[in-house]
Amino acid sequence: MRVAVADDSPLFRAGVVRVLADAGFDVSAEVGDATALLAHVAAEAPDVAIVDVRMPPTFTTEGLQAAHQIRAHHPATGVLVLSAVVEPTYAMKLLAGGATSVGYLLKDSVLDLTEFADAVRRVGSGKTAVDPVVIAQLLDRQRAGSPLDALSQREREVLGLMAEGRTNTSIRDKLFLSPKTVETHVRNIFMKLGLVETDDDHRRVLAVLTFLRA
Amino acid sequence: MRRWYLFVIGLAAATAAFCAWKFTDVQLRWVAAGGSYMVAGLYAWYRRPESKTGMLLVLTGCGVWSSLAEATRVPVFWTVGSALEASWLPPLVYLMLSFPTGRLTSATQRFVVLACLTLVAVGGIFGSLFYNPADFGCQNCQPRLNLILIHSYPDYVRFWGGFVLLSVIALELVVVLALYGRRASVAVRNRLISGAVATIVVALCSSLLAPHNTLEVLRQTPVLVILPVTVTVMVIARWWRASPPAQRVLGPMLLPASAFLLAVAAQQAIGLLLNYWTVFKPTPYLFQLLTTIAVVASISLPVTFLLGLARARHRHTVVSDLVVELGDLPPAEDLERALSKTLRDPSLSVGRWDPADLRYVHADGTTLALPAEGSGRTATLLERDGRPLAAIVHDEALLENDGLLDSVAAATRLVVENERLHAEVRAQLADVRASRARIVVAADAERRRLERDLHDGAQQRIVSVCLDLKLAAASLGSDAEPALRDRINEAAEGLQEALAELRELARGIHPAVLTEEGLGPALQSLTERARIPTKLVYRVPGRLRPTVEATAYFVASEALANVAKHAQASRATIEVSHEAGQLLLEVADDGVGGADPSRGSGLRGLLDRVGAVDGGLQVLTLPGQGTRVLAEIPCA
Repeated sequence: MRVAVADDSPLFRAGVVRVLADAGFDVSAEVGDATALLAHVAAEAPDVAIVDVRMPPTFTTEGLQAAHQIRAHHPATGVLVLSAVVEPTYAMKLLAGGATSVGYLLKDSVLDLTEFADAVRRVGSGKTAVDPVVIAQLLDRQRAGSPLDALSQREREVLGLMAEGRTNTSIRDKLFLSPKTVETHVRNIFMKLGLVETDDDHRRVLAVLTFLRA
Repeated sequence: MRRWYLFVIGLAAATAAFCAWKFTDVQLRWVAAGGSYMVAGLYAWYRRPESKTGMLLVLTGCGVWSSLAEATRVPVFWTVGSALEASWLPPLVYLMLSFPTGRLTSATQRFVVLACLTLVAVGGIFGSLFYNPADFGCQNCQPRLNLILIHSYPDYVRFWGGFVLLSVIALELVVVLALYGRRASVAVRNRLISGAVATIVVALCSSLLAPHNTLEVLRQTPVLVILPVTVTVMVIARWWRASPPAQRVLGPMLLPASAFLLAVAAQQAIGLLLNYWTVFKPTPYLFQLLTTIAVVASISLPVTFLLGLARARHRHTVVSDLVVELGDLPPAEDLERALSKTLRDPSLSVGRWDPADLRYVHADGTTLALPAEGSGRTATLLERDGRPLAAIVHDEALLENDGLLDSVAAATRLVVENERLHAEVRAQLADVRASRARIVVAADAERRRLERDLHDGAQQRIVSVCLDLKLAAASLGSDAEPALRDRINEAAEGLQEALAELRELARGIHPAVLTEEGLGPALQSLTERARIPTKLVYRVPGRLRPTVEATAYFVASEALANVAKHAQASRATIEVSHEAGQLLLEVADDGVGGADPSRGSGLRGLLDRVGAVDGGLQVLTLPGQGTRVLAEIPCA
C-alpha cells in the first residue's frame, strides 16, 4: 500500500515514515505543505495521504482543505487527517462528504504502532477511521434522559467501535465475540437508539456520530 | 407670608396713629425716621422676599417707633417704649454688617450684633424691672407708669446695671471667640480672651472702689460711644475690602450709616462730658447740628439700602440669568449669543484658545482677531492658571461697568473651562476604551499564539521522542532483558499521559476550533465536554470578528464552569442569537441560583471582558430559580 505523508514538522514526519515503513507500507512521498501534497497526489495517486491539519502558510486548517480537495478530485486516494486537538467537528466535516476512505486521528495515535497501521490500512481499503479519544469524548458526554442510558456496558463498547468506523468483523476480533453476538448487539443498539439499521458501514458511522453529537 | 405683612402693617398703623399727636418737633422727626424705615422695609420685603433686608428695615422702624412710645405717658406704651428703648439698634447693626447677603461672616461681627441684643435685653428689658421714673425726677409721672416694675432700685439703674451689662457682654465675647474664632491663631484668641477677662475684673474692681459717677462713665462709654464707633469702623472696613462690584452695592449706605453712627456717638460723648466735666461748654448749635445730622442720615439710610439692593439685584439677575442659560453646556454659538444678550453688545464675539495653533478661534473655526487700540472695541481675556482660555471681544464702554463684566467673565470662564474638561474627559475615556479593547485583542492573540506553540512545538517534540522510545522498544531483540523493555514502555506511557494533559492545557488557553471553525463549533465542543448536560441553541450564520467570538466563547465557558461549580444544576442551556448588530448570548441553568457578580472573580472577570468590547452583561438570579447570564456583545 502506497502512502504519502504531509506534515510541516520534519521530526514528526520522519517518525511517521519510520512507523509506516516498519509496518510494511510503501511511503511514496513525504512533503511539508499542502501544495506539494496535492501535486504528488495528482501525479502519483497514492492509496492513502496522511495530512496534518495545520500546515504552512497560515497554520490553521490547510490540511483539512487539502483533504477535502483530494476527496473531491482524487477519490482513489484515501485521506487520513492527523490533528493536534480532539475536535469531533473536524471528523464530522470530513465524514460529511461520504464516509469512504477517510480517517481522523489524533497525532498521538501514531504512538500505538499497530493500531495506527491498522487505521491507515482501513482508510486505504475504502473504510473509515475515527480516533477512539474523539469517540470517547462523545460517549462520555453528560446527557439528560438519553436513550444511551438504556445501553448495556457491552453495547456501549460496540457502539464506540462502530463510531470509530470498524466493521462487524473488526469488532468481533477486537472484543473476541462470535459474529452472531456482534450482530445481535448491533441490532439492539439501533433499536434502542431509534436509528434505522443499515448494512452500509459508512452510513452507519455517520448515523452513529450524528446521534452522538446531537 | 401675607399674614406677616398684615401684622406688620397693622402694628405700624397703630403705632403711627398713636404717635401722631402730642409729640414735640424733635420726636416728630424720629417718627418720620421710623416711618422711612417702615416704608422702605415693606417695599424691600415685598419686592425681594428672599432677602433679609426688608425684614431688618421693618424691625428697625418698629424699634424707632417703640422707643418713642415712652413719650405718650400711657402706662402700656410707656412700659413697652422704656423696655425696648434701644431695640432699633440690633436689626440696624445686623443690616449694616451683613448687607446685602444677610450673612454675618466673622466672629467680630457676630459679637457686635450680640452686644447690641444684650444691650436691649439686659440694659433695656432687665433694667426696666428696677426703673421707677418717679425716682429720676419725673414730677408729673403717674405712680404706676412702669407696669413691669418689680422693685424700685435707683442704684441698680444708675450703677450696677451698667456693671452687669458690661460683664455679660464680656462673657459673650469669650463665648463668641471660643465658638467662632477657631480660624484665628491660638495666640490671638488667647489674647482676646484674656482681654475679655480683664474687662470683667476691671469692671468688678472699679465697681467696688470707684465713686459712683465714674462707674456711670464706665457703663455708658463702651455701650453708647464705643459701640457706634466700632460699627462705623467695621462698615467702612467692609466697603474698603470689598471687590469693585460689591463696593457698588455697599457704597450708597456708606455715608449715611457712618454719619448717623458717628453723630449718635458724638452726642453721647458730649452728654457724658457735660455731666462730668464742668469746664466743657459746647454751644447749643453743636448739639442741634449733631441731631440734625443724625436725623437726616437716619431718614436717608433706608433709601440707600434700597438703592444698594437694586444694584445687587441688577447684577445678580443678569449674571444668574446668564448662568442659568449657560447651564447645560451650550454649543459654542449659544455662548456667544447669550453673552451678547447679557452685555447688550450685539457685535460681541467669543473665541476659544487653541493651544495647538496659538490663536483664539470662533465656533466656526475662523480666527478671532483681537481689536487694535483705539478701535472702540476691546478684548477681555480669560485665563486659567496663567494659560489662556478664551477671549471676549466687546465694546469698550462695557469696561465702565466692570462689576458686570467681571461676573460675566467669571461665568464664561466656568462654561469654557467646563467644556474643555468635558472634552478632555471624553478624549481620555475614548483613549482608555480603545486601549482596553486593544489589550483584549492583544491578549487573545497571545493566547492563540501560546496554544499554537504548545501544539506545534512541545507536543510534536514529545510525540517524536515517545515514538523513538516505542520504536526502540519494538526493535529490541527477543534476547533483550524484559525489564528494559518494560521500563522503556513505561516511559513512553508517561509521555503519552503528559501529551493528554498538554492538550487539555492548550485547549484551556484557547481552543483551536474557535479560531479555525468559529463560535458555533467551539460552543458545540464546549457543551460536549461540559460536566452537566448542556444544550446548545446556536442561531448565528457565518463567522464573527475574532474578538467577538473569543469574548462570547469565554463568557459561555466561564458561565458554564460556574454552573458546574456552584449551581447544583441538573441541566444548562446556551443560546446564541444575533439581533440588530448585537450578539446575544444566554447561559441558563436550573440550579440553586443566588449568584452575585460582586462576589467572586469569575463573574467580575466576565463583566470586565464584555465591557472591554463595549458590551453588557447581566446576571439574573433568584434563590431556587436558577441563574441566567445574559451577554450583549456589539458585533456590527
